[in-house]
Amino acid sequence: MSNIKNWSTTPSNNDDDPPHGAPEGWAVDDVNLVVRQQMADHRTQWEDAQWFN
Amino acid sequence: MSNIKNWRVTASDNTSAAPAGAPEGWAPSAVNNTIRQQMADHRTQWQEAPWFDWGHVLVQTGTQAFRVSISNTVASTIYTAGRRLKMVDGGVTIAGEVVATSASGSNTIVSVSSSNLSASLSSGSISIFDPGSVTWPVASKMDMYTDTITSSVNSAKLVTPAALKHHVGVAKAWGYVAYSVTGSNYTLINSWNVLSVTSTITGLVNVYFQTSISDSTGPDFKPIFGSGHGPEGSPSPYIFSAPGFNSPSYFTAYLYKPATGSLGDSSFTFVVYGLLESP
Repeated sequence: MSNIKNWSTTPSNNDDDPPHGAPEGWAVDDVNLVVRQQMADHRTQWEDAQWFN
Repeated sequence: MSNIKNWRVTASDNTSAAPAGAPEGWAPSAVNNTIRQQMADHRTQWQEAPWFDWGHVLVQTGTQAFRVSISNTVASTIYTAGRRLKMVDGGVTIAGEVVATSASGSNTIVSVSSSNLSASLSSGSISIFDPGSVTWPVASKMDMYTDTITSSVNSAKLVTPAALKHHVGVAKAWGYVAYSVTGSNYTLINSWNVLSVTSTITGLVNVYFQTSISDSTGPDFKPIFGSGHGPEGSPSPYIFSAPGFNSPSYFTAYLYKPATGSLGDSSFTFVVYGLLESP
């Protein structure tokens, strides 16, 4: 199940700790982890695209 | 084609060099490039949203089959029967649907409805809608009646026109037959499922069907209705009677003059119910 179910449509609310969000003041070395996680989340969602949680 | 086909569902595997991934120790100056690339990939994917390329390499094994290098255990959950495919074969896009999968060692052979796959086959996208899903979000081809239906109808299924014509509640033939005094003959003006009309006896007209009709729903079930209009140009009510089918291929209309009760030539309209004998 994709983690997109936990994302908010309000950008400022997507501030969970990495890799599931992009909070203020996050560490530079967390950026790649967030990007990778989002790639995985999107891929997972497309593999089950007829349904959305 | 979106590059999402190359993304992995395991986050730590998305380590391709920027902009295709987010590797450890990447340069700060590469971050924006990866984000831009991902914006483009998302946009591309959404522009073709009914389809998703799983990133499989399709190797043609026959005119109606290809091989993918994943196990049948996995492939059978992706290439489900009836799922639509859009395959790239050289410079040609070939549409089709999955028929079945079968194991071929550690690989899988996918047989498809298309019959013109060539050695140039390379990749393909799969419909995001899976008709094999138990509860499908929209009615699919699999949820349609495409063959004969009679009196039993599942209200959850769609009905194609080709199937609807078989339902017992739908007319199986109808027509308007004109009788011309001048020409002394009968002419089929407008109709559905009527091949021809002939008359050799005054007031008796044989109506032949294109597709035969049965009244097998019961010996007393004679679902032929009509009305006589009198000869063309001088319309007056005539009595129409059709006691049943002479055979599955035709019935005889009897037309009576109302004043005398004797047979007489007349234009008439009719509608027939019953069961079409073949799809």
